[in-house]
Amino acid sequence: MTELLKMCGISKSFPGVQALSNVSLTLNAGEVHALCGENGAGKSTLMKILSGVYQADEGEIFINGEKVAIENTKKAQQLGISIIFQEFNLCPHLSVANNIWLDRQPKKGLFVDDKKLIEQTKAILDDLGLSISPKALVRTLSVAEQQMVEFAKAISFNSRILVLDEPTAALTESEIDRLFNIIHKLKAKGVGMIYISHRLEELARIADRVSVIRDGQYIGTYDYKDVTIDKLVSMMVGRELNNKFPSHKRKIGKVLFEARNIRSNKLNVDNIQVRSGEIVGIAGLMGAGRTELARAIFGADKTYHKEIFVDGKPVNINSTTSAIKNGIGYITEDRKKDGLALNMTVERNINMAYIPSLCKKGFVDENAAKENAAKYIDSLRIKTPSMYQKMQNLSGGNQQKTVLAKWLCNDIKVLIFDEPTRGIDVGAKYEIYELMNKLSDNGVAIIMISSDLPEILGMSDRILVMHNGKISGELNREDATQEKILRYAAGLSNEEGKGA
Amino acid sequence: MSGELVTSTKKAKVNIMKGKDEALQKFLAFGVLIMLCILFGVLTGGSFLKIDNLLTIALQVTPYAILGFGLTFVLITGGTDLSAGSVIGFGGIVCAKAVTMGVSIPVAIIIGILAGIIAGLINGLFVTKLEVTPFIATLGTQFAFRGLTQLVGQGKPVSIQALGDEKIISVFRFIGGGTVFGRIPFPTIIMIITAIVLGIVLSKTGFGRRLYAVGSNEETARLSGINVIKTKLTAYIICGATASMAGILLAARLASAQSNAGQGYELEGIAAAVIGGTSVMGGEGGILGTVIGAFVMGVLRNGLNLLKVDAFVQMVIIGTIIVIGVWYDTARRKKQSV
Repeated sequence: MTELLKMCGISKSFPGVQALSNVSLTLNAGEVHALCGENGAGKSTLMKILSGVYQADEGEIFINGEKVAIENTKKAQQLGISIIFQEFNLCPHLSVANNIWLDRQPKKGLFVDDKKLIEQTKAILDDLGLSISPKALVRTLSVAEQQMVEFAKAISFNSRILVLDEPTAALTESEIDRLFNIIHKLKAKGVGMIYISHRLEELARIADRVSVIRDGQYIGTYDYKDVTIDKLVSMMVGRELNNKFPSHKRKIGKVLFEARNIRSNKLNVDNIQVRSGEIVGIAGLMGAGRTELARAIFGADKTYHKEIFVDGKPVNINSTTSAIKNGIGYITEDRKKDGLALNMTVERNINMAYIPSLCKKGFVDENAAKENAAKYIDSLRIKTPSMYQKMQNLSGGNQQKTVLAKWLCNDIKVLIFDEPTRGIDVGAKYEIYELMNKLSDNGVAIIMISSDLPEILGMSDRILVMHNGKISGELNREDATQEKILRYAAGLSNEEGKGA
Repeated sequence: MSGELVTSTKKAKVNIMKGKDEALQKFLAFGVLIMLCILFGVLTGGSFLKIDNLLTIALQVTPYAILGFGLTFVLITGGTDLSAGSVIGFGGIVCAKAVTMGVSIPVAIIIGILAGIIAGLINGLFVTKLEVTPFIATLGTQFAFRGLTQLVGQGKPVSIQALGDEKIISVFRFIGGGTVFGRIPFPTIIMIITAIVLGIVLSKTGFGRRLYAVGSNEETARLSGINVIKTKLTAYIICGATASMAGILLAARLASAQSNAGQGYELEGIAAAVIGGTSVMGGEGGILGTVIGAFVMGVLRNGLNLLKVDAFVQMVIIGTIIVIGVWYDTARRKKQSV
């Protein structure tokens, strides 16, 4: 078999993080090579290096045995590397033909040669066995069809190396079958494909080999027929838990929060209970509906149906305002996007959810506002030269503490953390964990959504795992392992001897 | 005790840091204003700086400034109101019509302002409930409100003068151009009072805090329990109200409401706000800045007139200044976000 691609000893670091260290990967012609690893293991960093988005700090890349430097995405394209991302890079208002040949349309003088454009598009589509019209506008196509257009586009570049990033995430079963048909066709043509997916069960259908990376480290490459899902999962998570989490004795009380029958087009959750002083972790893969669940509980998104109980009493939550009134707070996943107003001051951010309590007859008691901000800057040790510093000048950890302060000043009974420690350094993480423990001491019911499995295991008293908008499993702290969580997250059951 | 000490040092630091940036912007605009005054003072051999001329400028600036205050609220939300000029015409003509129909003056003024409030409410509903882009929504209502204005006046001015009631005419003339304390124009007094009231609303109330939060990051504001729709609606209503106030003052000065009154004023108002440091991207701005911005425009126009600069050249100069103002604002933001 000819080796199309060889990535050797690739290392890459970002400020404060070693994203990849000494990772190697080879790809043969006509092969589907699965790349496995947890969220944040370094898969996408590796693929971004391959496509010229990032430059490796160390390591070499060979294509067809020749050493290459991939300085930018254009170069990657010239080298025959195409990536099909989860989010498509198509222009929705242009036709299929114009998308595939974007900026490369055949010309007749000054004008696009439409006839030729349609002809050569049709040739590619026929070749792939697709019945999409070249003239159809991309926005009228289904998600699966749009993905096929991406494939056709990759073919039009004569790409020999194709990276598929979670290609089945948004597809139905029958669409997945069609996708796999196309993958088989491309294999027969000698195209090599790197296939990234969290759906381990589907790899058996198409993968020839599999490589595992974990925490930026290369773990190994195996023929797929030699591994089982169990072995794969243990390789993906096999890291030891060290003392990253503050030890803590919980005083768990009565049920403080309950949600029943949450239904929306992305959610189908029957029941969640959280007791006072309890931390319930919610694990699951990206797109499993965890954030959607949090937003539904918090009244940020509309649902068809939901029943929420706080302290045993049914409450009607139809807006974020009513959620806060009923003692529910939500710390969002992306503090820069929707957790903070970055060009406002620390003081304004801390007090943002506290305005009603600061107001007397509509006027803000500025002294109370100042005191409140000073109190939390002090008690949470938010490092800022002044409370009138703009939010954007603070570090990630201090920004996150400010978001926390925003909720602490309200009389919060239930607090939802969505990825509470994403993008902050280890020290600040520890502080956030300590604050969570302190809150639980004070009897707050905490729901913690996290993609970081050690964090889920280290902090939760109970773990709920989501898959496809449903709770697919529940684990107690004592029984929980990364393997069990991952199996539930992939939609597999945790009974012995299944799914291997 | 040590806690107190910490707080007091904190306070000291706080005062140094407080709004350094905004202060700079205001200082800059104010500096430009003073420089223009000195420049024109010298070039006109002092006649620019005569009290009467300065008071004339204050009178001329008044409708733009009042309108600019309302626009400042809308701009802070990250929106815009292109219909504000039409609402000037609408508010003025509704008020005048009410008077000609025999309604008492205070009631007529209230009706006129109400007309502006309703116009603002309509804009706000388009923007919030129907989620039409503010630019497009208010571009549409710009036509619609102008059309309504023409309909009320049946294409003609509504003249209070024509009533022939000297008492009513004199009251209106006073509202539109009369003086108090000997020489200070009454509309300017109204403008100052409005500035103070709205300035307090913006800087001291819960609504003001919500407004900045919404303009800074709408989703964050919503997820902090702020009623974004109500906040934005209120901003558009305030804008409608200030526009109709400006319209009533304009109509009162002539004792006649022109159906084309206020045409293009929305752009002057936006320019005043922007020159004064209000950001078209939302989240930043203030009333004092808008006052200064309006005066920069007024001083330029008046000074260039005194210097007998061609009206068309004046437009070029004023236009250039607006672009420089916005460019400065954008560059400043860019620098901050790095």
